[in-house]
Amino acid sequence: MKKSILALAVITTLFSALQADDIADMKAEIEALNKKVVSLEKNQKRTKKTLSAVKKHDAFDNVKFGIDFRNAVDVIDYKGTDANGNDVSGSNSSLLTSRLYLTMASSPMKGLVFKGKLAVYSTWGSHLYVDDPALKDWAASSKPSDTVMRVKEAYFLYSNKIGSQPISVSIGRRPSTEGFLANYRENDPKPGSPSAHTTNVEVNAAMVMFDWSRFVQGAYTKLVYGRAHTGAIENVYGTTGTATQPWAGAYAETASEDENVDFFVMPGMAYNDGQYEVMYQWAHIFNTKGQNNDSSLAYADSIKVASGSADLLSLSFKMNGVGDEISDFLDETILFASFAMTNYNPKDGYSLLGSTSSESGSSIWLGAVIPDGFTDSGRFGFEYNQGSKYWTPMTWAEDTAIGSKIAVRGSAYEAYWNFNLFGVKYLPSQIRYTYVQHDYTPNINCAGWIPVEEVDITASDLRFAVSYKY
Amino acid sequence: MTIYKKAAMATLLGLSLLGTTLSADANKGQKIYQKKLQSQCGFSGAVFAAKNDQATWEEAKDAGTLGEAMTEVCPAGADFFSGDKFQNKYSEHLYDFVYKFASDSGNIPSC
Repeated sequence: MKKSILALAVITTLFSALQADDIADMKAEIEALNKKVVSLEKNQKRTKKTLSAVKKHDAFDNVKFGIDFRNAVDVIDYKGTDANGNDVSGSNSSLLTSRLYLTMASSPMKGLVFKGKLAVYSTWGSHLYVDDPALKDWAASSKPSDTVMRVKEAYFLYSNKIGSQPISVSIGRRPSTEGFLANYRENDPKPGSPSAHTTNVEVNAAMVMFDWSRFVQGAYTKLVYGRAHTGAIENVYGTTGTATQPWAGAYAETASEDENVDFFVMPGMAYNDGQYEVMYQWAHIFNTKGQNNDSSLAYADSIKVASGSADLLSLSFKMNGVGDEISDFLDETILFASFAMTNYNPKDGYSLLGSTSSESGSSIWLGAVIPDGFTDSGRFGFEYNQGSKYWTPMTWAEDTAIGSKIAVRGSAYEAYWNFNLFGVKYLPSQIRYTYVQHDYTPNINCAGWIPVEEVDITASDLRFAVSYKY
Repeated sequence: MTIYKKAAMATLLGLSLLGTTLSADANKGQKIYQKKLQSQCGFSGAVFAAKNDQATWEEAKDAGTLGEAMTEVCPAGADFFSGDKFQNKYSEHLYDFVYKFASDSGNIPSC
């Protein structure tokens, strides 16, 4: 019995000793594992930090491209009377177009941004190169023509502070088309830079922007100076040059009255709290094209010459949501109203818009954009424009096949439905109907030498458009 | 109206009605920020979104703490971020917006 007890005691002691060893080993292993876990966690944090830094760096270490590719069919009708009072009409049952915007953006450092937009806007089966006389640099990417890719926008923007005053400087081909209020009819959530009521043209300019938002919410003023038209100059090697004098005259201004057309524009936001926006804009155009009244000149030589100046002024109000959370419908409703004036002032011996004296015109533009009620993000839009006899804004790049409806000297009515095809947000689409009644000579392109006369012309454009946008 | 117009109209109408999926919208989120938060937070939506990287915004959303994460960035908006409307109506659009313009998104806001 004693032997058995002794044996049991020895076994127990040995087992306990062994168990104690195992526990100690396990403890040591757990400790080692804990250390490893801590080390791994540290490594993971470091890796995450590095990855985040690499991602941040790489995200901006490139040019970011975007695509806006739209295909559309426009059904167009014109009706009017000719000089003898006879009815005349014109139509196109299917103007088929494709418009490709290749957008670019890069920001190599904080406060410095480059943005660009290359554009091809063509009719299906177009001629190789379309060089219609009235088609100029200021609308070349905005009117369907050929399949040539053109620069619609390319500019950089540098933002910094002078003391406590935020300031931005930019130069290049500006985002000067489809500006404030015109973006809804273009089914684009973001407007371009200016007020679309008076200016909608592709231009190159330098800009300085002062941000006043520390005084008034959302307020800023931009000062923009640019050139809409380069006057007559000798060609790239000089038309007066000879083989022995290749330098002679290259790019020199000619004696022609076809002067540079420069402009100064001051667009600004007076107030913007996200719901209420008030935008103002003043533009002064130098050397506006008109007619020299010297009767000794042939007609062809007397027109398209520097004839005076023009001033364009607009004041626009937009309500982004009616009331505050009264209903989803009202929250999503946008209402806007805009008033604008133009004044063309010819110099002595010249005429603008067929007049030798200063002529003013005015316009109103009203709009409502409401949820369609049966698709998630579909919207119905309704717009009305009315312009007087001498109303002459510079909106010749407006993307309306029948010409700028905002520039109407008469009345324009428009309804559109913006929706996402199949409910896919990358396939924004539109059905738009525009009806224009011209009571005076239509202002559809730059033609300050054309007299404004009473007419009775109607034009309509029914557009179906489907886009891919990413 | 010509047969051509009618056919095109009917086709587009039909196609558009095939899909009416509800989806979050970054533009809507930006609009909500501008309207409801910008004056309180004191900085633009782009600055707000860039306060965090995409992973941080995503983790907060997955953990159901997006409101808290946004409050950290803009303490003045605490009441808004803890409200029912934020949870039920605005959070998805705001998330889409902040994710799109997060500090490592590479997206450059409009000037």
